[in-house]
Amino acid sequence: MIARANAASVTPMLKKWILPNVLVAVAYAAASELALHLLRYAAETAVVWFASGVGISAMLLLGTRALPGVALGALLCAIFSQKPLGLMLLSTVLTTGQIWLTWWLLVRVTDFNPALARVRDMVKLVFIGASVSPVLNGVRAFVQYALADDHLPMPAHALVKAALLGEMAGILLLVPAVLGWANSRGQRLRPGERAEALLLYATGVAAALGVFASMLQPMLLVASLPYAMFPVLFWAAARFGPRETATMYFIIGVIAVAGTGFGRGPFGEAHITFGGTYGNLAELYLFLLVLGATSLMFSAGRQQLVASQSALRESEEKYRLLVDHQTDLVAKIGIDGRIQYVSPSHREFYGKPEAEFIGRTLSEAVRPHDEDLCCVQDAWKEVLSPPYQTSHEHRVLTPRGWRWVAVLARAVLGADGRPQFVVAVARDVTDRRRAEEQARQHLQQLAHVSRVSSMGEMASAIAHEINQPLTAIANYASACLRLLRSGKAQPGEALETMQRVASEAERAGQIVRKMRGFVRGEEGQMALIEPAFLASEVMRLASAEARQSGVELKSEVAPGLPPVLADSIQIQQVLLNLVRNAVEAVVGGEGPLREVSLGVRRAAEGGVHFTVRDTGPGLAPEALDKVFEPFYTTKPDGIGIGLPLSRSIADAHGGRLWASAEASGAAFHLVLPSAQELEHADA
Amino acid sequence: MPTPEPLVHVVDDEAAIRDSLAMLLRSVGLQSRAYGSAQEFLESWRPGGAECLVCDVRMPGMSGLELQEALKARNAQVPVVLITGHGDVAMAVRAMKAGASDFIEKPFNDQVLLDAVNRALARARDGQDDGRAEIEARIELLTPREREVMLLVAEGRPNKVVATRLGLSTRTVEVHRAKVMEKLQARSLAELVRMAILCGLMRP
Repeated sequence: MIARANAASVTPMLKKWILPNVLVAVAYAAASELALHLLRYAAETAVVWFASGVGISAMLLLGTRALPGVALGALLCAIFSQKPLGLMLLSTVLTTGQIWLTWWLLVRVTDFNPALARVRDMVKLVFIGASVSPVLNGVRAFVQYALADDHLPMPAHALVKAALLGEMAGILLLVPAVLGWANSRGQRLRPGERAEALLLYATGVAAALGVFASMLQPMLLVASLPYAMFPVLFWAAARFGPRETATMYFIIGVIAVAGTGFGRGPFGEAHITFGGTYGNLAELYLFLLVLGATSLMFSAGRQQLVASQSALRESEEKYRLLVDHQTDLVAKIGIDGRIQYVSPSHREFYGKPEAEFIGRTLSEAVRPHDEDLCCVQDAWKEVLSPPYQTSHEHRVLTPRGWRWVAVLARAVLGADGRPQFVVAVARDVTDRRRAEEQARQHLQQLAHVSRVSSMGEMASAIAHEINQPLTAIANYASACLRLLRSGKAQPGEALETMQRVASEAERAGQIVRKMRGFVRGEEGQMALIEPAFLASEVMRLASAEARQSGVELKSEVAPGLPPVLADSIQIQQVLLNLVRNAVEAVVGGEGPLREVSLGVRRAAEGGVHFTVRDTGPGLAPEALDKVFEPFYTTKPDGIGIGLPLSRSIADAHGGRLWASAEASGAAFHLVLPSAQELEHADA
Repeated sequence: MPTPEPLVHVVDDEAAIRDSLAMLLRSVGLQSRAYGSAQEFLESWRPGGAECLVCDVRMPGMSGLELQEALKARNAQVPVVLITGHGDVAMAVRAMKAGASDFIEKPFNDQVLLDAVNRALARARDGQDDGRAEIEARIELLTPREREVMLLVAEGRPNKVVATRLGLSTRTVEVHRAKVMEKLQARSLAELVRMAILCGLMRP
């Protein structure tokens, strides 16, 4: 068991730690040996130093996990150099530390992205990745040489310069290529591209061999020949990306170093320039650095541009997809009123191609309903002045007949703050309008039903109300007749009696008139109405029913109330409804006090406050709002439409209607704004 | 002891009705006294002599029917003529069963009211004798079927119910009912009820 568990835990350990580190160490040591063999005539320290590049690449790819491998590689390297043990260990520790520091500065401090897709990452790689370790090494070497009193073959500064640049070149040659390939796993070139890449590499190799291995010698050997590498690398950068550029750069670099190492090419031994061998090497490295930095940054810049362009294209495609496939009608209109763009939805909605809209004015392109023309014109004026937006609904002629569209338009302002063009979004709202119209008709029908049913209930009360004067008239008339027939009549008495008959008949007529106006429920006119008049009318209409129910109806009207702007019939309807509800509540209750009062006073917030109080059972707190919901009723035969309707009437008057629970019974409140208030509100 | 002048008490919450009734009564030489409510009447009324009450049924506070009950409770023998602007069969039957002298709907023919008042005054003066023999003679004229119809109608049953009870069509009931009213010379359902009670066909 234990053995198996160990075996199971060893395999991931092997995969995760041991194998990568061994590989890193081997690569590190191999890179250093390769460098020494490539530059056979250079001193040990002046070779192109790929080993640091291996270490930094490993750290960037694997993180601190690669640190033991780097240390091991450095140790192997030190062992090969056959230094004393102390120096060997010191060198190992310092080298490992430098590589770790480079990694730490790049990844932990500057947020370096190894994808190398941005110019800024390339810059970091050049100025941190390829610089920290070489500079520290240079300092180290300088101190070392300064302390040692040995006779050196060349001035120390030349050697140090060559070593420093060599290490920089080694890093810059290797790291981008490794990162490029490591980060683009699975990214394959298309066949055409692959052919071009092969051609590129072939051209690059040929050019590099020609220049640095002196294959073209002697006819073309001139000092500026290495610049021939630029077109090759820019080709790679422009047609491919950082990966191919870095690869091409690495190949050219290796060839250049090897060629130079065998004494060939412009930097070869045969062409010792000022500064001797080390001077030549330093020049080679410097050339490679400039070549690499330039072409790699160019490739990253191009990559960045391509990426942002493709992001732009994607987002444009996304928006185009949205606009092209939505059912809303999107249009762009110039401030001259001419259409610049219409979404494809126009074609289906208006039944004509998009081309027929472009360059025309709105009224040329679509036909609004004659009744809506002024609203369309107003909207256009509105959208061109602050706040530069408008919304309205109008009818347009379409192949399906007149359709309602809801238009939302907004002007897009330029830098000078003036409108540049207008974007309008329209939507077919015909179905919604139709539903609204239906709902409105239903409500009107309900209002009528409610009024009629209300009248039905009131009919008996009205009959009674009219019966009273009729009975009195009949009595007076009969009495008068009898007196006159009997000859006992006093002239004054008969006259007075007939006077009473006339006044009672007048009263009956008034009742009939009031009732008729109320039942018809004609579209009333808004007029200035005295609150006292409303109260007295309602008292008059409700008194019969209250009396029949044995409920005392009182009213109290404060003096000096301002007139309200109201539809007299509608407000009477609301108040009468409240009073009748109150009377029913009192009848339904068992309270000793059977009273309904209508109070009218000035509202605290201005306006006029009507209060209908009853001494009925009152309302539960949760019912206070519910009673205004349609079809909610507490009455066994109620239809629950009176109060919601009343509230909508109150709303239409700019007023409020609400209920409250009182110490005994309930109270309903109607507040109407006074006529003056409305005037002020308008002003 | 001289017979006091007959006196009619008029109770109605509406001044115009009180006033016009008083005038109508005065035109035939009857004295009247008016009250605005049942309470007012009960407070000031003392029994005595030939008197009757003409009273509205629906009034704020105590109704006419309640006043009738109150008088009955005091064992007062004053006959009551109820008038209403909003009567129905059930109310009429209830009033008559409770012993109302008459039940009249507004607006009324002056003669109907004066007849009812005179009948009530006569009843107050002479006790229960108000032509029972004559009414019984009229009832004798009814066929058995008409008699059945009369009793059900007097109970306040609508024609439809009467028809179902007797297994007749509504139309037939209407014909029987009209004949009953004609034979008994009843001008209203209230009178029919009064006759039925008077002749012991129905329990008050």
